[in-house]
Formats: sequence, structure tokens, C-alpha cells
Amino acid sequence: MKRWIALAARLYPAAWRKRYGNEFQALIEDVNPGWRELLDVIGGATKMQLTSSATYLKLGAAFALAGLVVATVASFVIPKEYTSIAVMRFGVKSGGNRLTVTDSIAKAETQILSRTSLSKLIQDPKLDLYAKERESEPLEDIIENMRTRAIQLVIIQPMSPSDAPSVAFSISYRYTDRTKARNVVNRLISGMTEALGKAEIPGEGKNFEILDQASLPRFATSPKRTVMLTTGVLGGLCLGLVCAVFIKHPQRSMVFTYMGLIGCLVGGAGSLLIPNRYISKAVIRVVPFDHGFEQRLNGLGRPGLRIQVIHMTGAPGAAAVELSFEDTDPEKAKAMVLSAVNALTAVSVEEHMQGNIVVLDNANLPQSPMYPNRYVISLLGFGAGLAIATVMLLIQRRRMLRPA
Amino acid sequence: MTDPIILILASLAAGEKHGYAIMEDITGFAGVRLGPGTLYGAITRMEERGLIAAVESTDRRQPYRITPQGRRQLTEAVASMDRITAAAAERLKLA
Repeated sequence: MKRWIALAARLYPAAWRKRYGNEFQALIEDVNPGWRELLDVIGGATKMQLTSSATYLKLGAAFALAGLVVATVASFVIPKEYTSIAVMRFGVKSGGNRLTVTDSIAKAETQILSRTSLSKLIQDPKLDLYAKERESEPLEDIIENMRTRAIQLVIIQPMSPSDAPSVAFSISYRYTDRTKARNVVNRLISGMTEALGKAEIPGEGKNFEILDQASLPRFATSPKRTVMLTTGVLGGLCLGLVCAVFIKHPQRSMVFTYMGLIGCLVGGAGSLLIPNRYISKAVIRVVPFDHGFEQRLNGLGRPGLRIQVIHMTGAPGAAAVELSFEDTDPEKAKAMVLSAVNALTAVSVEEHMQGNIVVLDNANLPQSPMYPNRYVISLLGFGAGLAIATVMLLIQRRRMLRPA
Repeated sequence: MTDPIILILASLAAGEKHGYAIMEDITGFAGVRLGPGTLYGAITRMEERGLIAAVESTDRRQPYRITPQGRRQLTEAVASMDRITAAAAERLKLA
């Protein structure tokens, strides 16, 4: 048994064996060891390995390796997605302006991304998109995901003289089947062509041109293995270091954990006492934005109403005006913004300006409060808890070091 | 009452001892048999915290002594245990 225990003693860290090895060996020789002692030595060696000066390094490396393995497996399990992209240009040969061209593209985008249009696309037997997802998720959610995450329409930049404006834009779609991804982009191009063909737009000679046909992607755009593996390694490393701190300083770590949690709870509970503030917003476009309209804005006479004017660089004389109002009652906030928008629209009708004021985004009913940010307050509470724990431990340490 | 640190401090409060002597002493006064791994795990931590110190020796059996800081910690632990014992005895009507 002494031989087994001598072997088990070699499990202790090298630095520990250098300092205590001889005397530990002498102790083993003195006692009459059995299985209980052997298990005790193995347990002691394991504990010492975890609490030695290299704990941070060992646990950090072990967890980083585990993170790497998990991320590698996950990167192979997550299905690959391919992105097909096409680039187009739309404009008029003479007359009109960039703003109206961009507006037409935005309207066409709204049409091709409508619920009806996307629903047809998804359920088309030739495409049969999201077949598995449709078995378990409502179609509404799939449409929303396709609209907000999978399809992207990006205005590249106005690329023509202002007397013959045209705007280039790209349409891309991300899907697990690269052929279907390309087919969907082709269908979206057809939809845009049709919608833009019907669009009523100032100027003459509508011109729609496909600069780059929908691509057949060769390589997957997601999952991004490098990002996933880096995240896995760094996440594992951080977790390992946190575990090392808990093992090396269990009492202090618990004090920090408890105080942090108490701070977080106090912060969260305190934030419930602060009343919710909702902000409703509306955006209108004004052409031309002149001194007279500025005076009308100033004369709205609604205390608390915030007005922000953004002059549009692509369209001289045009401006976007954001009207917003903050209140504890979301209905009241919406009503205030709505009344301001109506007042401005009514003025334009009275003065035969109809058409020069376009409501781009009408007053919304805010669903979630803008203030207070309870996450931030809870996080601040957590930080305050940690700070208090630090002070407590410093005081305790000073008391311990004070001579008796 | 079986915290190895308190048991070792209590043993060394009577004078310096090496590992085996500490182990035997504790078995004698507390009826607790510390294993070699547990004993040396505690000795390592206590030396790091300055509760005990190695005494210069040429023998392989390294003796240790209690430090003033170790004595203070033991005093506090004894006072705390006294309070608990008194309260428990009072509640059991043994006082």
C-alpha cells in the first residue's frame, strides 16, 4: 500500500512536491496506511492541483479546450446557409428626382415583402421553403423571420446626375439550399420589376436594369466557423477563470456573488418604483421645407412635443421631420403626436399644399417603455453590490492584520 | 468541530510538532483521524495564510509552530464555540 500511496503522491503539483514532498513521504512511512489513506491522498492531490498557483492556467486551458470542442461540434450541427445576391438600378431618363426614385423603390419593397407575397413564395410547390419549420411554427413567424432576417434590400448609392436620377440597390436572400436561394432572389427581382413598372413616378422614361444577376453561391455564409470557434475558446477561457477564482478564493467569491445578487435584486426592485415613460414618434417628409413651414412647426403649441428636422442631402429643399412625445401613458403619447401630425397636414390642405407633406411613419403606440432601463439599473445594482463586498473584505482583512 | 485547521491549531497551541505527531495528538484529544492528504492540504493552506510556520530542522519530519496570527484565529474560534456550547447547554437545560 505504501508503494501505491507513493505513486498517488506524485499526483501533487511539482511545486508542492518540491516544498512538502520529503516530509510527506516521511509521514507516509510513519503511518500504517490503508485504502482510506490512499483515497485521502488522491483526493488531496486533486484538490491541490485545482488550487495550486497554476489553477488559473489549468482551468482556463481546460475550459477553453472544452469551449473549442463544443463550438466545433455546434458549427457542424448548425445547417449551412447560402446567400444569393443581385444588384439592380432603377431610375428615370429625365425629370423627377432621387427622392421620388428612392420612394418608388421603398414602395415596391413593401409590396414584395408583404404578407401575401411572402406567403405565396414560401408555399409555392416549386420552392417549398421552410418545410420543416412550417410543421412546428406559425406561418406568421416564418414570414416575419424571412422579411427581417433572410431578405435584405440595400440602397447602394445614388449614382447619376440629378436631372436623370437613378438608384442602385441590391437584393439578397439567405437560405439553406443555394439553388432555392437564387430562385427566390430571381422571384424577388420579378416582383420588384412588376411593382416598379406600375409605379407612378414623376419624370419620363422609367429605366430598370439588372446590373448583377442573382448569384449561385458556392460557399456558405453561415455558420461562421472562425467566429464560432473564437467565441467558444474565449467563452470557455472566461468560464475557466471564473471557476478558478471560486476554487482559489471560495469564501470571498461567495461574498462577491451574494452581494452582487443582492445589489442586482435591490436595483431591479428599486427600478419598479420608477414610473414607465413611453415615447411615441412620427416622421413626416416636407417638400419644400421653407421658413413658412418652420414657423408653422414652432406655432404648433404643444408643450413637451419634441421636433427634430433632418435635411435630406439627396433632395435639396426636402426635409424629414420627426415629432415625438414622452409620457407615462402610451395612449396619451400617441394621441399628442397624432394631433400634431393632423394639425400639420390640415395646414397643408388649407393652404393647398396637399402632397407636399407626406406621413412616412404615423404616430405609433409604444409597446415597451423607453425609461427606465431595468436591465441597466439591475446591472448597476450588481456593480454596487460588488463594490460594497470589496469594502467589506478590505475592512475584514485590516481587522485580521491588526495586532492583538 | 472537525475543521482540520482548528484541530491543527489546537494541537500546535501545546507546542511545535511534525505531521505524524499532529495526527496522533488530534486522534488523542478529538477522536478524529486526519488522513495524510487532508493533513497536508490543511498545513499548506495554513502556512500560506501565516497561521503556522515551519521550524528550522535537519530531520525529514518537518516540525511546525503556531504563529501569533494562528493563535488569534484559534482564540476567536474557541470563543465562538464557547458561545455556541453555552447556548446549546442552556437550551438543553444542562447549564
